Amino acid sequence: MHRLFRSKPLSMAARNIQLGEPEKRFIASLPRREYGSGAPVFHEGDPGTELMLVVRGRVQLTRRTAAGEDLALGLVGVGGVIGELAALTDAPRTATARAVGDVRVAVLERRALLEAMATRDPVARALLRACAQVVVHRLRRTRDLVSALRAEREGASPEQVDQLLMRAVTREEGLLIDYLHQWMPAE
Amino acid sequence: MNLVSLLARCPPFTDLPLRAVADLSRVVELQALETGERLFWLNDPSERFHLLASGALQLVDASRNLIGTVEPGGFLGVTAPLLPATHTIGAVAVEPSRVLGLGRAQLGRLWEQVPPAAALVEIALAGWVARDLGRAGDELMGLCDQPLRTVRHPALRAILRAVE
Repeated sequence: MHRLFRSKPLSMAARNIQLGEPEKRFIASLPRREYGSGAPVFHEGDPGTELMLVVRGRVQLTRRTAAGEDLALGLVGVGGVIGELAALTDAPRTATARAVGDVRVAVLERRALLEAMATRDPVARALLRACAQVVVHRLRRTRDLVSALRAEREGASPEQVDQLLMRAVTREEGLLIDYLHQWMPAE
Repeated sequence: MNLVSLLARCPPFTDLPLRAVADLSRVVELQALETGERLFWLNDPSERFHLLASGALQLVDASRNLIGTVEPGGFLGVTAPLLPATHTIGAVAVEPSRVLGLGRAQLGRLWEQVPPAAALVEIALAGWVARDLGRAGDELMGLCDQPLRTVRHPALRAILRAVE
């Protein structure tokens, strides 16, 4: 049963985000930060001014429920973006991010991204679009999970929940993620 | 019709500098709909942000049930210019209506003409989506007020508990 809902491998390269040599150089120039296995990258509620690209390892995103459990929001691998809301809003971190194994991230300050956009840097445009798409993807996936869980709580049949859940797990992840993964230098 | 004023009052854009709103007003497209004409239908590509300038729209689901109405100033499709998808509902004009549209092509034109304005518009749209993401996340947390082991559907339970 669970195999049915395993996220499908990304089936498409980045149609909407074209990353060339300038973008690759920009990302390669970003400062790196490392986290040991289990170490928090940031906590839910922390102020956030940085977005991060995962260049090694995986990062688990969670929120703490009223029952004191960690609700899984996603597992972000190499090429993935975390903290993307920091690029878009002044809101505090909406989830806790924790390293699964050893993790290295490339860090981009919001101020630096906005300054790059002010100078009409095309790399900034690509990154902004990537952040926006990640947020949209997560909104759609969260709404799908809400629909599935609400239906389950209201007594829907397993088949009805299957249908709702299928939408959540077959949504394409951010297109940037797949694309970056193809060329991100091994770190 | 004062497009700048209409756009400036639209909630996702209320914090934009007026100059950026003016730049935006020059790329949006105005569409006129007759009574009964569809703005979009189920399974149509969802690629545009729509702002109703005048008239009225009804929103229907796959079973043709009325699920909402849109009045002047109302808007739909905030995510569409950022990450296109497929419509899961339909929108029909119930009287002669005019709708402003902002799609990826129009956003692309704005990037070419005035990149700083395009960046601000894209940030404004994404910021609105982020607000909706916050609400959806809170709704999900509200549904998780009981221990996750009480979720009966095994795959759903596994997804919600998939903490490594």
